[in-house]
Amino acid sequence: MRRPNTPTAVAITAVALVVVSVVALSVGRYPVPLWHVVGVVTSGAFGSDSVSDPERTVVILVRLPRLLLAILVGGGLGLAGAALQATFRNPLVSPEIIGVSAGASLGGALALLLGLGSIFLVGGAFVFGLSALALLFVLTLGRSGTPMLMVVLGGVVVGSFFSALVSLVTYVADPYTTLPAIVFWLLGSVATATSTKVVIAAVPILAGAAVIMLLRWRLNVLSLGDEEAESLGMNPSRMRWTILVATSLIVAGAVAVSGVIGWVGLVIPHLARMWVGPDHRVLLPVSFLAGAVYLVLIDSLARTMTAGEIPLGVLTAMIGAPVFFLLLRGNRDRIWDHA
Amino acid sequence: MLELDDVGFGYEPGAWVFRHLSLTVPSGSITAVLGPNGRGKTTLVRCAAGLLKPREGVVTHDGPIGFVPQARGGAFAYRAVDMVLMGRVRQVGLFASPGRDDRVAAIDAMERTGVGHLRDRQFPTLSGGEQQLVLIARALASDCPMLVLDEPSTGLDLHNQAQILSLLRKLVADGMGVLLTTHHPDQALFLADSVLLMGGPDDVRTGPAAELLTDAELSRLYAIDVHTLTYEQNGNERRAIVTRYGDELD
Amino acid sequence: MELPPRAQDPTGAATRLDLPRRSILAGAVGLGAAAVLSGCGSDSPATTNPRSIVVKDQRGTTLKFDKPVRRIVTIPIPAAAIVMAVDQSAAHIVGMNDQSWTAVRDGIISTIYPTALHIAHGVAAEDFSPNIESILALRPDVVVQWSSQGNGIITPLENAGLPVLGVDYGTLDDLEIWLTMFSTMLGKPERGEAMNARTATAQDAMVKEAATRAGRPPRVLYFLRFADSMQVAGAETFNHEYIKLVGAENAAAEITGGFGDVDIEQVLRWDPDIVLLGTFDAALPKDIYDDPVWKDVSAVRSRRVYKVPLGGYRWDPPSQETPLMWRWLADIAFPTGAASGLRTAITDDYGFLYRTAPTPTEIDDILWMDDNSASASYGQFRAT
Repeated sequence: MRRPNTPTAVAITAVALVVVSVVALSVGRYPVPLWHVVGVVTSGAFGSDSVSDPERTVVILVRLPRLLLAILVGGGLGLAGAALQATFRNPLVSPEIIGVSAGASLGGALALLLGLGSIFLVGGAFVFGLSALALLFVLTLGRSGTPMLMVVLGGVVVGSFFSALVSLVTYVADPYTTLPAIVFWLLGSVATATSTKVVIAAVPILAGAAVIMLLRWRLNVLSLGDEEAESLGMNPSRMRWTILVATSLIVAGAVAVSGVIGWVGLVIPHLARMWVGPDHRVLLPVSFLAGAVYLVLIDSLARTMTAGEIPLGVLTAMIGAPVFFLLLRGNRDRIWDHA
Repeated sequence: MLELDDVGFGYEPGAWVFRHLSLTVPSGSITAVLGPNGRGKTTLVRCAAGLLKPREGVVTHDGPIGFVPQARGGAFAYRAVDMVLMGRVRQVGLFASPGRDDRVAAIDAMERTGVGHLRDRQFPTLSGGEQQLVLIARALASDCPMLVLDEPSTGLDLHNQAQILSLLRKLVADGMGVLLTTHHPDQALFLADSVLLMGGPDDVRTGPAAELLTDAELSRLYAIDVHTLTYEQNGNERRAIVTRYGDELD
Repeated sequence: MELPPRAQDPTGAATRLDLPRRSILAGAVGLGAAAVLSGCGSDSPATTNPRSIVVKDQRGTTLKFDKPVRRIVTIPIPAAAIVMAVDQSAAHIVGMNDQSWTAVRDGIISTIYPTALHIAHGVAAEDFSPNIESILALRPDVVVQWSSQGNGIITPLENAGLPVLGVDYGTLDDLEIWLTMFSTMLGKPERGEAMNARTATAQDAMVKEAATRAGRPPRVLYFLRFADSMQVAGAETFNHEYIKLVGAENAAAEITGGFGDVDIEQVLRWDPDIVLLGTFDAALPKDIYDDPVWKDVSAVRSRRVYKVPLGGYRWDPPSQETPLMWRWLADIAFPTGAASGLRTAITDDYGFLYRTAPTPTEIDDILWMDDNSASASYGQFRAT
């Protein structure tokens, strides 16, 4: 497949995001015709706070926060996945691999276990997500030029440790009150979106994404490996930790507001790379936009397919895994040699 | 100009790969490092390129060093021109991406190494020789006055080897200083102004290529009988180095 | 609603229809009840008729006892409170689930039967797998255990030589069977009959009352969970049955398979007239009244959002206090403007169930008078 040039690829995904956003605002269990959605959105921008009629309530207070949250989380995870794959020089790495997702899960699960408010849910996910990173740091520290394998193994160790603690939390949780809340949250959902949550997610996700975007070309250099990067005049260790901290910010922000939504960080950068190539100047914005498109689509499905809510994590895996499987089978050679 | 002054390096405490090694590579000259496998050639060039910190002694150079590693595929299939652009890390700001000047420099470097026509090809799909030339172009794109190459001709066929050697000679003629490792004494003989023979931690010898690359020295270095044959090419006297395979087991 | 947890179905009630309670009890305990009439209503240890008490459990297994059981271990969470109500005492329970114990501690039962707080707990894990050694140490006459959770939690008990009463739960029929089984093995079958008769009378009265109502019935939406995710009771739930019983409609009747997760849009589309918040999480009417998303919902416009009462047991799942739930819901759904007879009914029923008379403050707590005070028609329950 011929690779599109940068402006074309970014423009195509941006247009796709606008289209799916409009669709997402107009579908749902509560029927709102498309032209009403357009009317509500355009007047909503200038209108007063007194959203009174049900259609305005649905579009502005229910669907819009949810859409924004899906864009932030999906885009953030797509971008974080692409950055990690470059950092670990492995196209099959995802945010889960460095243990930050598991750490953030523990923080959130603890907050739910103790019945603390949403501020603690977010703060807990943050603190423990970054603790997982610190643990990884300690585990791999003390050696100059930590081999990549050590970092990956360290991530597995840290991830397993925090997953075990999450299991412990679910074990001691009250099966009639806190356990269902924890399980539902771990499965992943943006169903409880509010404008507050949007702000809470936006700060860490956009901050992390901005750092990674600024370093997008240097990520190319880092992905060559430490020795080559260093010989070209870059400090690979400092660069890598900058990327890892920024990634943790994104993942912690996403986990805090929506639980663990897997697969987006693995599948999206991979598909994007097959389409636009590995150059991170293109790959990163395209991964962000494509991740946003993907999660908005999945969430629209999750809330419209049945009267109930299907957890997002279930759908991203159910759709992501088979698609990924087919792509792997169809492109076995390309994936590794010319990904 | 690259200068190693009484440099020593070891991976394990108390053990030395080499020690008391001094070497000067002036601009416009080539120094070749020869020696059997495992005697520290790659370690030496990595010290010279600043990728390893010597345990003792000092490495000085009067500009950034362009290091050319042995070509490997890499995890991601960047285009050749993007690979070369990465040589501009030092010139591009921390949060910036390469601009027009960098692109011009990259394409210019590719033209100099004769791979301009490959710029949109994916790097892993190139042949070994083409990859090596792209990596040299990358080092050139960084505007460095000194090249350090790790076995630039290893794994290449005869034609590709010759292409690399000619390119290096051309670069030296333009004032570049070159330090390289090689397993081919005759290439060192053809290219190098001076050579460094690494026989072991306490057996490091430097000198002009013509003086040091003798049958006796090479036979001792590689522990196999080495003979130099002289022949005439276009009126010039050339030398070729041969070994008698089969004798090494006696 | 202390039923074995299953994914998306924490009450277990979901999978079964609670139907007209014309009873099928014959199969369950008919034999035992008959046999027991020969008399062991008292605490006489010198029963001379071996194996005179016969109880068939909900697995179909027949249990025989020489004399009324005096040492009961209960693993299903609601069983402890129901045994106490049947026994009008906490004296014959020697061990219970941790969750039963915390329900006792936090509810009015600990006021009624203070000794219940000293009963051993922790006889089973979260998943109801029994802790055999601690149960053996309690020397129980019988262990009450779930029959619907697979044999893995029953077989170890039987291998240890313990008689196991396998039980199922979730419908009014189940409750009726429980009362009969428990009263029979305690040697006082007439108590079970009396309790069941009282429930049947209340049910018949409720059916008659509902038949007199005209006009469009209000649409009621019951939330099993609200705080983190929204879970509502669909058509195949106990909650649906009592909403219908009092003459109202279940707004979520289209949800099948018991309880279902829904999003707010679905709720806005249903536009319920009345919202009931269950007792399984901390959600309160205030949470809904304060949320701008809800402001157009009929139940919010007419201030008809209510927290379900929590008495000797939770009122939303089936329990010995279910007739009180019917009275409460009927008065909420069809307020007459006059004071409700619920407080009197509570006092009567608690005398019958527990031999206690709750104070006005205790009744206020049961009915969440403070938290429900901002809702319409709740003044009818105020103490006079």
